[in-house]
Amino acid sequence: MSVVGQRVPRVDAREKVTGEARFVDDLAFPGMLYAAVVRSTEPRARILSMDLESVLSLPGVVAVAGPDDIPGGNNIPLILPGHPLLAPGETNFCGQALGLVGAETREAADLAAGLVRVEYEPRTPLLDPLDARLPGAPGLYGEDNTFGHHVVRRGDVERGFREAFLVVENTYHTPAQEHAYLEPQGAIAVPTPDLGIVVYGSMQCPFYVQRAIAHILGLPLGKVRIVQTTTGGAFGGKEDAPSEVGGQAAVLAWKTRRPVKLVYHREEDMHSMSKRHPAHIRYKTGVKEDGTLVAVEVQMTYDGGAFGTLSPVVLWRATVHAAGAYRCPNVRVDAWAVATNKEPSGAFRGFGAPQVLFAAESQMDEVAAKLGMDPLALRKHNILRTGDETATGQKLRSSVGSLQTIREASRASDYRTKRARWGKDRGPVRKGIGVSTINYGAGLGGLSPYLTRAGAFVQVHADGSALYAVGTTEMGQGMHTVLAQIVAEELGLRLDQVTATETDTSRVPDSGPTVASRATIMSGNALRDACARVRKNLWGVGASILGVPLHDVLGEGGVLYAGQKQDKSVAVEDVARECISRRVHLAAQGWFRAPKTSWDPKRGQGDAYMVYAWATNIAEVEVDLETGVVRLVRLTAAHDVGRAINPVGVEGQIEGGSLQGVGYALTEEVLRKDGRIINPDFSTYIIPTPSDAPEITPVIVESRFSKGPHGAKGFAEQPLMGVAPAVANAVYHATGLRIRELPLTPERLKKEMERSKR
Amino acid sequence: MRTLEVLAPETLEEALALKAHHGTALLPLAGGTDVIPGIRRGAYGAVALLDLSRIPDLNRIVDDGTEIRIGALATHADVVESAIVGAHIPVLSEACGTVGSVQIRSRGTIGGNLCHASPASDSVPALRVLGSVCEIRSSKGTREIPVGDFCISPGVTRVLPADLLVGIRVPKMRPGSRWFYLKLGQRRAMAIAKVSVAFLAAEDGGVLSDVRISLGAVAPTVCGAPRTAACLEGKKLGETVISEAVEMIQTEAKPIADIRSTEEYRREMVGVLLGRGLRGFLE
Ligand SMILES: Cc1cc2nc3c(=O)[nH]c(=O)nc-3n(C[C@H](O)[C@H](O)[C@H](O)COP(=O)(O)OP(=O)(O)OC[C@H]3O[C@@H](n4cnc5c(N)ncnc54)[C@H](O)[C@@H]3O)c2cc1C
Repeated sequence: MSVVGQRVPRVDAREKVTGEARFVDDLAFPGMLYAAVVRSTEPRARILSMDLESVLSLPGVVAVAGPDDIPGGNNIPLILPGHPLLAPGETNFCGQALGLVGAETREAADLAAGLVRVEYEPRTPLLDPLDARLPGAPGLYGEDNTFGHHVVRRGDVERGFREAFLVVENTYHTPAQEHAYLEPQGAIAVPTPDLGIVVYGSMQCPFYVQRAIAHILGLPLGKVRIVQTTTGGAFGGKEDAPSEVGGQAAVLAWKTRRPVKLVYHREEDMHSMSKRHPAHIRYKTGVKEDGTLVAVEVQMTYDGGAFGTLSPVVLWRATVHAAGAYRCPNVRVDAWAVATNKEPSGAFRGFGAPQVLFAAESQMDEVAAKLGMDPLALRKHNILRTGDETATGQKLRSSVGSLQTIREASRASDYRTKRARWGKDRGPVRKGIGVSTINYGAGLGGLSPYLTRAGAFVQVHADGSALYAVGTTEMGQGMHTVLAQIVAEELGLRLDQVTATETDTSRVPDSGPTVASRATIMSGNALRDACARVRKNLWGVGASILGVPLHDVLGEGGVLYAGQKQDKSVAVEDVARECISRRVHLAAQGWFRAPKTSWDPKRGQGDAYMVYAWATNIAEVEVDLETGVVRLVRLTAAHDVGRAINPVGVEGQIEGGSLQGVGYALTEEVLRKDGRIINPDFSTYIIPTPSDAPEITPVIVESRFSKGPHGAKGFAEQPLMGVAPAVANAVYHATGLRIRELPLTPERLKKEMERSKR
Repeated sequence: MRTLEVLAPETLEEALALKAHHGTALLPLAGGTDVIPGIRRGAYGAVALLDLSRIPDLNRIVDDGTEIRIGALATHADVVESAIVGAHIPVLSEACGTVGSVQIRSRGTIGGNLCHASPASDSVPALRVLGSVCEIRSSKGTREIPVGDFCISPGVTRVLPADLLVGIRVPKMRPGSRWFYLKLGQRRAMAIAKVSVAFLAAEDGGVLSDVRISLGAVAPTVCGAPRTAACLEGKKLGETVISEAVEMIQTEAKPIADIRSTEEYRREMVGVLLGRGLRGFLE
C-alpha cells in the first residue's frame, strides 16, 4: 500500500488557502439577476394580502414571484408532503419564504423585498413541542401534529425494572443548534436554450436538488442539471435546504429567462434554515447490583418545526441509538417528532443521536455514582462487543472497536490517576474528568435502503493521469483527498496524478445524499469498482509490455512492476500511451450497493445499519464555582473508524467535530421571543473561538470493516456526538452538580447550585 | 455593492468644517467595527461617512508629564502595545487587551469605543476610574468632558452634531496604586462583557484611599459604585472589609436581564469580580 493510510495534505488545500477556490457567490453569468426573499414576520398567520407588484416600479427591480408563479408544484419534495416553496395563504414560522424579488443588483433586490407589504391575520402559534400532541393544540400537520413516531420493543422492560437493583429516571432537555457553516446558503440558476436549467450551488445533495427543481419547474429530470460549487461547510444544514434555495432561484430564472443568483444573508440564513432538533427526553435506566444493564425505557419528543423535512429519518436514527452503546435485554423506546411554528429542524452532524446520547450517557454516569462504581468500569462492563446484540436485535459480527476506544482513551488521558485525584478540591476552582462512550451506525441504514447505492466514473488519460467523478460531495470534510488516495491506490498512480471533477448530476447516476458519514464507504467502493474495470485494461496492456501474466502485475507510485521483486517495470504513463495506440478502453463506470440492512417498524427491530463506528470521549474540566464558568481544558477522543485512509483528515475531523460538540455542550443556544429567533448572528449565538478550544488529543482506533474500502467505515459525525455528556459528567465529577439541560451555561450552573443548596 | 459617500479630509480643520456643515448627516468613521455592522443593520439611516483615518497624529499617544494624552484614533492594539500606557495607566492596557480579538483590537479605536457608548464597553470603565477627560472639538473650539459624564445612554454621548472627539487626557496613576480590570464574557475571546469591574485606589500600609470603581454592562451606561467605593475608603483591606464591599456592591448595582445574561447572575458576579480583585491585593 503506498497511498492509502498515509498522512497526506488535502488535495484542495492550496486553492482554499490562496483564495482561488470559487464559491457560489464568486460566480457570475452574463445578464445575471440577484434575488431576495420576502419573509414572514409572524410565526403563524393567515396571509391576507401580499403586494409584490408594488415594488416592480422601484429602480433596478426586474421581476417578482409569488406562489402562483411557480410553474410546477409549490412543494419541496423530500419525505412528507406539505412543505411549500413559497407560503400559499398561510405562514407557519417567522422567516418563512413568501415571495421573491429579482433585480439588477443585490441591494435593489434586498431593498424591494423589505418594502413588500404583507397583511397578516395572526393565529395562535404552537411553540412548545410538548403541547403539540395534546388535545386542543393548533393543528399544523396531519391529525396529531406528528411527523414521525418510531419505537423499539425488545424483551420486557417491566420485568427488567422489577428485577433491577437500581432504577434511575430523569428528564433531559437539549436546545436547537445552528450549523454555523462559514459560507451561507446560495445558488445560481441558469436557464438553458433547450428549455432546461442548470443550478450551481453550495450543497451536500445535488440529486435532492435535481428532484426538487424538476418538480418545482415541472420539468423532466433530464432537463435539470445540478453542479455543486465549492462548499464552505454544511454539517447537515445543506442536506435538504439547498432544494429550497435553488428552487427559489430557479423560479425567478424561469420567469425571467435570465440567470439568477440568490445568496442568503447570515441573519436570514439563521432565521430560516434548519437547526438541530430541540429535544425533551425522559430516560429510565435499570441495573443489577453489579452494574449490569437490565432495562432501558426512553420517551422522547423532538421538535420538528414547521415542516416535516427530514424529521422522520432524524428521529429514526435517534431511536436506534437511544439505548446507547450497551448490551441491554429489555428496551422500550417511543419517539415522536412533532410540528411547531418554528423554522423546520433538520439534519445536523449526528442526525438526532447527540440529543438522546446526552441523556443516555448522563444516565450511565448517574447509575455509576449511585452504585459507587467507576463510570468507565460501568461502561466496560456493559459495552457491546463482537457477538452481542444491539437494542434493535442486530448481531454485531465484526469491526467492533468499542472496548478498544475505552482503553485507548483511558490510557491517553491518564484517566485513572485523574479520576482518583480530582473531585475532592475545596477551592473555588474544581477539576473533574468525565467519560462518554457512543456508537454510530454508518450510512443511511434500514429505513431508506433504496438510497444506499452510489456511482462513480474513472477515466485514465493518454499520459496516465486519472480523472474521476462521484455523486457525493466535498463540503470541507476531506472526501476528495480520501477518494483520490483510493483511486491512486487502485490504479498504481501517484496522488498528484489523480484529479476529481466537480460533483455534477450529469456525470454519474443518482448516488444518494452526502450524509450519514457515507461518502468514503459508498463513493470509495464505487470508485474501486470503476478502477477495477479500468485496471483490467490498463494493467493488461502493462502485463503484455512486462511479459508477465496480469495477476503478477503490481502498481505503485505511477509505475507497474512485474511481480514483487520489482526488477522489471514500466511507467503507467507509457502503458497509457500504448493503450491509446491499441485503442484500449480506459474509462469505466462503477457502482456500489451497500450491504443489506433491515427494519421492522412495528417492533423496532432489525439490522439497522451495515456497521457501527465507536468512540470514547474523556473530558477534563475546571469549574469555577463562584462564576459558574466551565472550562473544558482537555478532551481525549478515541474513535474507531475502521481504517483511517488519511489519518490527518481523521484527526482534523475529530478536532473540528469535537469543537462543535464543545459549543453544543457549553454555549450554543438558539434564543427566541414569541417564536422569533433573537440571536441570529455570531455576536449573540456563541460558538467557541480558538481560545475556547480545549487541548484535543485525537486517538485513531482501526477495527477494520471488511466491506468498506480498505477497511474504512463511516466517520466524521461522531466526534460531535459524545462531547456534551462527557463534559456534563466531568462537571458532575468536579462539583457534584448534575445538569440535565444543555448548554451548560454559567447561569444554569449557578441556578443549579442555588437549587441544590435549598 | 452598496454605495456610500465617504469624505476623507486630510486635516482636522477640514474635518471639523465638514462636520459643522453636515452635522448628523455625516457619520464619523474611525475603525468602523461598530459603524460597518451598524450600517448593515440599518441603524444609521441615510448618512455619508467622514473617514478620520487620513488626519495626521490623531492616533498618537504622548506623555504630557502628569497626564497621558491618547488620540481618539489610537486603536486598542496601539494602547496595549504602548510602553507609556503600560508604565503609567496599566489598567487601561488591561481593559483594552480584553476587547474582541486581534483583528478587532487592530481596527477598533478608543475614540470609537467611547463614542459608541455601549454599557459593555471595555475601555470606558478603565478610563472612568482613571478620571480621564474627553477632548471634544468643533470648528468653534475645544470642550472638555469627564469620561464619567460623556455617555448619556446606549449610543448617545455628549458629542454634538458639529463635534469630533479628538483625544482623551488620562491622569497618570500614582505609584503604588492598586488596580484591576476584570471581565466576564460568554466565551474566552470575541466576548462582549456580561459584567466588568474596573477598580483603582491609592494604598498606604494596606489602607485604601481615593477608591474608584466602575461597572460595565450592569446599567444603560458604564456606571460607578460610589457607595461601595465609600465603604472601602480609608479601610485596611481584610476579609471582613472585602465581604462587606462585595455585599454592598451586589445591592448597589442594578443590573438588567438581556440576551447575554440574567439579572441575578450579573448581580452576583459584580460582587464575585470585586471580591476577586480585592483578594488579589492581599496575596
Ligand atoms: C466582533 C466584534 C467584537 C467586539 N468586541 C468588543 C469588546 O470585547 N469590547 C468592546 O468594548 N467593544 C467591542 N466591540 C465594539 C467595537 O469594536 C469597539 O467599540 C471599538 O472600539 C469601536 O471603535 P471603531 O474605531 O471601530 O469605531 P467606529 O465603528 O468607527 O465608530 C463607532 C462610533 O463612534 C463614532 N466615532 C468614532 N470616532 C469618532 C470621533 N473621533 N469623534 C466622534 N465620533 C466618533 C462613530 O461615528 C460611531 O458612531 C466589538 C466589535 C465587533 C465587531
